[in-house]
Amino acid sequence: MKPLEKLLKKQSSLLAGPRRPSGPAGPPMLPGLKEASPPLSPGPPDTPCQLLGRLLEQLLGGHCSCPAADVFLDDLILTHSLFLPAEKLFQELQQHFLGASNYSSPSWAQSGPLQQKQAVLEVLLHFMKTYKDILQEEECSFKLIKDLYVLVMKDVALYPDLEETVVKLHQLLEMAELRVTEDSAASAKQVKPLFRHFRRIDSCLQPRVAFRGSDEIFCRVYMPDHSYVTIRSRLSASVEDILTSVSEKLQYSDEPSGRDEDLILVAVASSGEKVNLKPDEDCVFTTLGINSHLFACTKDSLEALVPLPEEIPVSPGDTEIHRLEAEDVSNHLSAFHWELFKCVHELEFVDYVFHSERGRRETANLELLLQRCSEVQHWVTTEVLLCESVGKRTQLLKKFIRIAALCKQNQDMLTFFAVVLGLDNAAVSRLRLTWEKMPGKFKSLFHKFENLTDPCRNHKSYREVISKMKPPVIPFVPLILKDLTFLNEGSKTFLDGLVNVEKMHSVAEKVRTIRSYRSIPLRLETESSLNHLQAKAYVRQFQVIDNQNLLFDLSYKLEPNHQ
Amino acid sequence: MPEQSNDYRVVVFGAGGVGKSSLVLRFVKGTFRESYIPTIEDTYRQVISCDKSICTLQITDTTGSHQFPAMQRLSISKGHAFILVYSITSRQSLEELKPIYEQICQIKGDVESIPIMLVGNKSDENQNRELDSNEGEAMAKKWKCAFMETSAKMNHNVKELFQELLNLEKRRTVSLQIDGKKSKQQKRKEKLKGKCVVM
Repeated sequence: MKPLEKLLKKQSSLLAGPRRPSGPAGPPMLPGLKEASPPLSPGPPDTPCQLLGRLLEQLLGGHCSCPAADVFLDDLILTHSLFLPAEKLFQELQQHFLGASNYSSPSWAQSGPLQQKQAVLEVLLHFMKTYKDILQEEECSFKLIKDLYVLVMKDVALYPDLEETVVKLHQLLEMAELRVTEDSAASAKQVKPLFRHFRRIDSCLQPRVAFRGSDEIFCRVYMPDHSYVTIRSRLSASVEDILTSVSEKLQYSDEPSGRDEDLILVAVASSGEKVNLKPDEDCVFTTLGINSHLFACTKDSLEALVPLPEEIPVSPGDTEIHRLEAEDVSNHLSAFHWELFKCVHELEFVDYVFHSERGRRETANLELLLQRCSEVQHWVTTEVLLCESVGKRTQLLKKFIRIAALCKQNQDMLTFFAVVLGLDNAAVSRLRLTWEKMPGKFKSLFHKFENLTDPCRNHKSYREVISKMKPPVIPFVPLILKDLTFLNEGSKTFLDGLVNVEKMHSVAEKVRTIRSYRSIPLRLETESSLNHLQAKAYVRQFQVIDNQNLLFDLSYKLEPNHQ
Repeated sequence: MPEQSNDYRVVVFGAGGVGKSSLVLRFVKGTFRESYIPTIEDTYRQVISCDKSICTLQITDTTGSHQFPAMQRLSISKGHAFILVYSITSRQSLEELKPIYEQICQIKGDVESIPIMLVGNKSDENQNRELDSNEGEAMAKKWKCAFMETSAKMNHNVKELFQELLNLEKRRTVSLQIDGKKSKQQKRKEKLKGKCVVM
């Protein structure tokens, strides 16, 4: 398990306390930016199809429909994957469009076909606007949308009033189509660099773009003797696909071998911890720990696998961090993390938490953001522990506290948390001599920061602070995922076959909070200093130690126990 | 934990499709395959003897395409010895070695002390030959490096190529043969090798 997840697990068990009653009420709504919106009644639980019918009915009014209907629409599109798979959704929409649905209610029956068709198109447009560029990953949905589009085109002649909507639909479709063709053309030329597992010095300065499952990446797969092959693979490749590429490369299949000679894929962490990956697992690249590597070996050699030697930046003298200004580092950190945060699609948050309930959709960008968050924590710990002189170490602690303060000022709570948690690592916090030398001002500031990251009373102090922030904000994403997990575990999605509308609404509210955090772009001064490119490159490719035992070893070497 | 500094690193360069991987795989695993899979970057490890002790020979097989200039620079600066491969069936492939050779000179400075082997591969395809062996030899003379023609397919001169390259190393004594207490270490090596094959 990644340290961050461990931490959150620990925290959530701390605050679990009296178990919340489960049921339609679900956990209470958490303070967010959307607090101001009026309390909405999403209506009683209903079957998925009835729910869609009810939504269409509310949308009959066309553009002047009430805000409640818009929220209902957004709720449904954001969470439909939990109760109404896309295929089924489009099937239903098609039926409605053709006026052949089973749904019946007085106002629906009274409405004319034009109004009904417009309501259907409203849903379709919102679906496309929400999915945006992940639409192309959803081949099946994309095809269904095109089918529906053909139906719509046939109807335009009969219903000229549809034209305005159809034009919009046409534009959205064209954009999606364009992305597909552009993408297939681009991927032939360029393979995206996935940081850590295939470092590309030349590309780290380029802005981050979102990863999609169909993207091709490079990945090193190691052998027990630490030989390696670099394979080119789809990000979403299954373990079996990866092993096939490796066998091909090694001309392995040429050799006459028994069945038990089959290769297995193992993730080996720097601590030596091994995870045997199942052949049907997919998208493994982004779920690996920071310094974990993929190994291909036979079952017999599994026991003997040893991790790669730790890459410690043992440069003589000071590392880059000592030469850079806290302002530069914090601004580049926030800017980078904003890029990574922006790359995460809204639906990844839903899919990450609920993926057990639906077919797995890639949540690569979210996973990379989480990986980065734990990388930043380890970076802070590593840098402090690699600093041998006590005086300089104290200076470094001060610098990190300043960085945390500046990130908080940038409303980048993700980096803020990561830096504070990095300083809170037991291997750093036990350095009594180093902390003692720090001026009182910094001590009390850090104490304040520790309080802000304190998980007690369900992160009350952090929630208070972030609720007062205006966008742009980078939230501490792991907490959002924890809240979503609570929402999921606290109440059922279906109650006697009826969709728990309240729960869906709460999940969608969380997503809308994230949406509002990102509604205004974050602009920071990152090019003011002379060596801003150095700072940028440094911040985007940390070398860290993620082996806690090794971190403790370094810590005891710096300040042995005197007892 | 220090980096294994006594690793001896050999880097194989050359245009796409000249047989770099075939040479390496023939040497490391003793296999050959007709199908072509473009390489990105692979590294194989083998135990060899070095100054009366043993060390690891690291052979890095590189990409023939010019996709990653930064990686090429990195492999050159980390490499101890270089194999420059062209195909005797393609004059163009010898041409393409020039910028690589120049980059090695630029990064390493004094190339004369660095083992470099110019290799004309695919010597089995005599009927398609575009380059005579003395053309390769002339180029090697110009570049002050050694020269050899090989065939990964027929397993001709492959082991010799690597041994010859190691012989060129004057700063330490490296050899494919593990001498000294031969019987014991040889066994060890065979055991290790056996494991490599399993992978």
